[in-house]
Amino acid sequence: MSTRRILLADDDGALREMLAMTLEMEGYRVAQADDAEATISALEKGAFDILLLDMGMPPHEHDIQEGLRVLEWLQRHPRDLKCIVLTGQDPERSAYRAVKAGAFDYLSKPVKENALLQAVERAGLFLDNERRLRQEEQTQKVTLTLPLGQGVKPARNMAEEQLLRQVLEETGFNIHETARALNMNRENVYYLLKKYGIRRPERADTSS
Amino acid sequence: MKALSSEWILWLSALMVLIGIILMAAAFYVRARARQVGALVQKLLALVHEHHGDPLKFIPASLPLLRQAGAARVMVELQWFGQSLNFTDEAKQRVDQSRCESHAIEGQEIVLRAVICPRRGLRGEQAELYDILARLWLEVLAAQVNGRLAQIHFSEQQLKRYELFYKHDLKNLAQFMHLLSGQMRRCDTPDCSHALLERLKKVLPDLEERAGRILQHLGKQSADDWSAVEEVSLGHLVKMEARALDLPVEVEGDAEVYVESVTFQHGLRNVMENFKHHPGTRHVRALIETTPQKVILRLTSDALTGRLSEMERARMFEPFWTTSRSGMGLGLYIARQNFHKACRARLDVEQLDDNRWAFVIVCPRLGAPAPAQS
Repeated sequence: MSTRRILLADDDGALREMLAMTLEMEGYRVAQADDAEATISALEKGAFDILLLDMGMPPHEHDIQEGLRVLEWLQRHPRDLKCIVLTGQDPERSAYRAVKAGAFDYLSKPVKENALLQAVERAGLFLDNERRLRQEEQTQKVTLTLPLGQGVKPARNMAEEQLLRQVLEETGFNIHETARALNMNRENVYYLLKKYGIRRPERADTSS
Repeated sequence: MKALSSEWILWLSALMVLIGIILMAAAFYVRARARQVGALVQKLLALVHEHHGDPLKFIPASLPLLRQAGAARVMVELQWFGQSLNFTDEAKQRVDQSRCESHAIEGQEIVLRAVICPRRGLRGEQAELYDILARLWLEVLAAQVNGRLAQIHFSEQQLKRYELFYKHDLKNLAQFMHLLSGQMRRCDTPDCSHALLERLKKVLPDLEERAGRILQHLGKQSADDWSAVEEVSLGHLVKMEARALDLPVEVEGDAEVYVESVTFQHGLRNVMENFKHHPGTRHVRALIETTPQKVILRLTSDALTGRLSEMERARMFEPFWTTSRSGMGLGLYIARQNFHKACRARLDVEQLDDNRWAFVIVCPRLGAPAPAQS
């Protein structure tokens, strides 16, 4: 039995309950959110391993913009989780945008129960091994979407920013811990915060 | 010398009076012409207002005004939701071909071609009056047609949005059923069954609301995702739809047709709803005729009497045009699209010999669809 925490984001209450029950029977601990705002709020407050995200949520149930809002928030505030998109939107339009915005997997409604559980399991497997990689080899996997044909400087900057954001999120914006994890001095961390316009969140532990 | 000078003064005075009279006459003439221009422009604008931007009413009503302004030939060719309408006004005077102006708009449902020519010999302010009126008329006509095209485009967008909404609900419902079915299979203990029941109790009101919403939309929308092409009896389809609408029907003849049956039925329902709402319909007559190339279904009743003008025929398939207080005027417009989609059939109206008219659906005889390749 798994003890992973899953956040379910879907505006359809009935479906959400049924999804929650299916996942709970497999041993997952499930929290629920019914719109983008509630999803972001839940991600801010708690730690999850997997986010199961519906792209069409109020007030734009017929569009993907609410799902994209969550994915874009995750890009700015990286979390140690995998996002699986489970949506009824047209895959031709939404899959590309979702993958571009950092989704790990994409499932089109209606999906068979087995396919859903396999996708969740697969996401968990990737997450475990990335965590292991970090623990055993002190390496951080960073996924980037880079523009081609502009040389390596933008790639370096984006990788630097992404890495910094990830470590900051993990350390709860603790500058001392972040500097230690990145093997930098604190002044350099402050310099990079300024360079990339990263601001200390109000709720975070500010001790450094 | 003195006599000469007084004679000059007399002549000069007379000349001055003459010039004064000419100037006054010219001023009077210009004022009258200006009034004429103003009056014609005002009349034209009043027509626009009066007919609420409807080109089918505006065009015939504006023709006398154009003639008054100096037009010798006005020709408007309009393709209006599948019907062809021509408006022509030819004066007896000769036409100045070199000064003809034309305008064309090609939309998916509406095509407009308008030509306006002045009579020969128009000069000066008369020619200017004509120019002002002709240009204004063409601009107004173009604006009316473009406005109608924009309205249709907007309505189609709204219908698509509508469709997206119910598809979203439908997919969620299908997902729910998949998961519920999985849970039912796996739940083999009383505790699990109890938990499932409790959960279902919690979600049923939400589910019921969504299902209701889907059903409401399904009554109005096409069923393109699940409609399969199959061979059906046309007579049977007519009887089924009549029964659903509680309409007595008498079917003569029958034919088997390959159609997307759900879409075809929606089209049929939209047409038959007209009988339902038409006062005086006692029963519907359905006549099915077969030729080697096509199957023709005529639907008529005792209430569909009189002769239909071209204009009435064009209006019938125009979206949002209705004589009913409760209808939206979309039924026949959608029906025509549904029949085309179901089997490339054409819905029209036809005048019958006995002073009645009928809805006619001409369905090309298509062979059975090729089996899907695995």
